[in-house]
Amino acid sequence: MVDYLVDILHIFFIFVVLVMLTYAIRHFIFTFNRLYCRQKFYYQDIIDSDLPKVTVLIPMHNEEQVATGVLDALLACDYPADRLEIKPVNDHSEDKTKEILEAYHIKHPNVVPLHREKDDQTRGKPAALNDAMAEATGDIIIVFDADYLPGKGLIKVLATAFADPEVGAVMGRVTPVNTKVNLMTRLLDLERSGGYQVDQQARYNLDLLPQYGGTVGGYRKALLLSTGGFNTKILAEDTELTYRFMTNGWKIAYANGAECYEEAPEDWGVRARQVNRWARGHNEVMFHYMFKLLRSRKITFSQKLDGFMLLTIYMMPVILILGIVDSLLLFFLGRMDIMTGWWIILFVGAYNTFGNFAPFFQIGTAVVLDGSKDRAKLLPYLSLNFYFYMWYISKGFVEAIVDIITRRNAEWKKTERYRKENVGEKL
Amino acid sequence: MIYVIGSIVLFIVMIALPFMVGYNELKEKKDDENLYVNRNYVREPRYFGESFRALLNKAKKEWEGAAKGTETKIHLSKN
Repeated sequence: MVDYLVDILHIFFIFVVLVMLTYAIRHFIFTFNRLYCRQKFYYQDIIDSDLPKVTVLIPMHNEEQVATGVLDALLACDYPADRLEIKPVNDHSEDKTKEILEAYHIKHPNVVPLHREKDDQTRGKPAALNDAMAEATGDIIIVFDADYLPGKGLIKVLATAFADPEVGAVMGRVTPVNTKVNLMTRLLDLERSGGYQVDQQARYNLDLLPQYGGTVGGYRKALLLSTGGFNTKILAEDTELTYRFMTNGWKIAYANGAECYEEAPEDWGVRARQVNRWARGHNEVMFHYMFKLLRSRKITFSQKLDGFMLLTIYMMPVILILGIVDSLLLFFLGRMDIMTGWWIILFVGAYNTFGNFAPFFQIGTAVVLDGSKDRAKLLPYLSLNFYFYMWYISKGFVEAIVDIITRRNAEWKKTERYRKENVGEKL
Repeated sequence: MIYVIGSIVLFIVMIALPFMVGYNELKEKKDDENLYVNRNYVREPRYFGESFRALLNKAKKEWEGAAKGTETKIHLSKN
């Protein structure tokens, strides 16, 4: 019986090593692609067609601190006013968000707020977006979270991609606006750089799967509505859209130059809840889409592989925790005799040199590509996040399993805002 | 005993060293500004199409005003 158990522990140990190795190779491929390979340019020109009618949706729940910032920024955009509708969605706010939105509506006719106030309505971003899409007049939906500050030309840049009839969704780049606040925001700044400057762009270069991130991005309204709108039981509506479109053969474009400032979480508790929510939502999508992804005949093998690795990425911390437990059990059972031979030293040495280094290499490369220098010195501090994320992502994974089994509705909790100026007080 | 203490000190130094470099950056804040995003950046996605059309329209006017049988050259480059 014990031998049987030890065999299982050995197999799982080898599985964990292979998984770690695969993800390390993935980091290297993406990073080398950004450094040395041909780069794919985002859509630059529309030769002769008109810009599409766009509706910008901004889900809001108690956003009086930031509402005017995003609305003023959108009103300053250079997108033709007759082709732009701005639709903030007040989702059961209890502060002065509603009053702020109504004040803007009176001054600016193309700001058309939607107020969701009924008690029996499903709350949260996916449900709010579904209701707003039913009223939206645009063919293209572009979404911004309320704390974002889009630049003047951003909507035009994002909308350009839809001149390509194969593009179902587009994603821009997110950059923290509060980098200097503390160690947390500085580390998030590094993570964002690595995630967008290297990861997303490399995926776009390689015709893999750039991810629609739910903000600073857009999609074709008819396409989403024809497939039933957002699933309100899934917290990660952005990841769900990515996989729904991709498995149906639609492209997702990535615009590295479509940069937009966001407010990054400034304390560990808020970040923990955010990561927990992402992990829970992402894993819900994994349970829903794994077989659809593997069975899809509309995508290539490499897209399936990338899609598979992205889909399982929020399961990795759980596998690593189990791997640590597994190795401790084997150690105390005196059965770490999985592989023997002097060449193992070379293998371990190689992984310690290159494998552990891979994510730092990716983020460091992103920092260099962004033209920064000294912020790269903070790279070792990212190792602190490893244990932090491991716990909260694993918690999200377990919650996702419970969501799937019990079919319960997950409660949407928005990320807290930090902007000091309370504009609502001034009205 | 000295070996144990020495090993522990060496371990702490090796662990702490990479963090020291970052600690200096956290204290001195040499590179803590937000990444620059030009929020005033705008571009006309139809610039190429409209420039091309303007060149053709200009040439068309010349061609329409020219005598029958006259050759009209359209310069698609501004040079």
